[in-house]
Amino acid sequence: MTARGLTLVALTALALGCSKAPRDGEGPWIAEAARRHALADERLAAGDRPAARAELLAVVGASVPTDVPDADSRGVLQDTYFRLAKLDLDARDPRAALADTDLGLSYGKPADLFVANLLIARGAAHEALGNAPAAAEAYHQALAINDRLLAETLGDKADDVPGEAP
Amino acid sequence: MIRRVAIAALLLAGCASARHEGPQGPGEPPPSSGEQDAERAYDELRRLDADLLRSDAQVTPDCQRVDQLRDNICALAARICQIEERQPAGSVVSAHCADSKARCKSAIERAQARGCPKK
Repeated sequence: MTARGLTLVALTALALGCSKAPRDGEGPWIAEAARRHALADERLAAGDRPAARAELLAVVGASVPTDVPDADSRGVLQDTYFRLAKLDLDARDPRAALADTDLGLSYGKPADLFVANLLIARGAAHEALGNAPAAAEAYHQALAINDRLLAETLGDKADDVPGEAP
Repeated sequence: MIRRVAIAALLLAGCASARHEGPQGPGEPPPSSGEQDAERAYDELRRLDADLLRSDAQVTPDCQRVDQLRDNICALAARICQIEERQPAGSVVSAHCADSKARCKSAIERAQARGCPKK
């Protein structure tokens, strides 16, 4: 498996972890975002990347109603910017991908998979631009988040986990 | 459910313990059959409580999530170290590579210790 393949494995696994169908009771804005993501999937399956991109841009372009909790809107917007970054990476446009991750990360950097996804996409964009140290830094931040989530899942004490906190 | 049982058992054990530790003077009559039953019930509760505490410590985590996180950690560590190979010695990437390798090794060991072996 190539190095690029490995990165994409991580991206795919993380993306699967974040994808979710709208639950009963979720507001119309989240339901609309989920509908647009589903449409983007369909466009991608049909090989129409520009149309997929347009669906995702519609999600980030819509204003977020004030009754949507910040944590929910952040997750939806960061997941959408991650998908946009991935589309731009696949289209060999790392500068656009980097801009997508900047916008996504501007909504906050808590230690969760939405942020880890964006950092991985950011690392891949830096790599494509030939900036290896920045790529390694972004990948390392993503790794530290995964390690922290693993520790939480296993119920580890902080002393059991090597390295610095993310 | 287990938690509720545990709390109930601990409450009962606490009540029984208060009675159990009460002083019994030399001139007091031997315990009645009712008291002996209570004594046996108390011992049984203590045993169940100990079993419960052991099983709580051995709860198997969500291995699917553990596997995914561990694999992410190790894939990212491999990627960082591949980048490091192309960097001059002593670069900041070297430190990231060393830390990432340690985290990957630790993630494998911690997952395995909790019953989620690497496939």
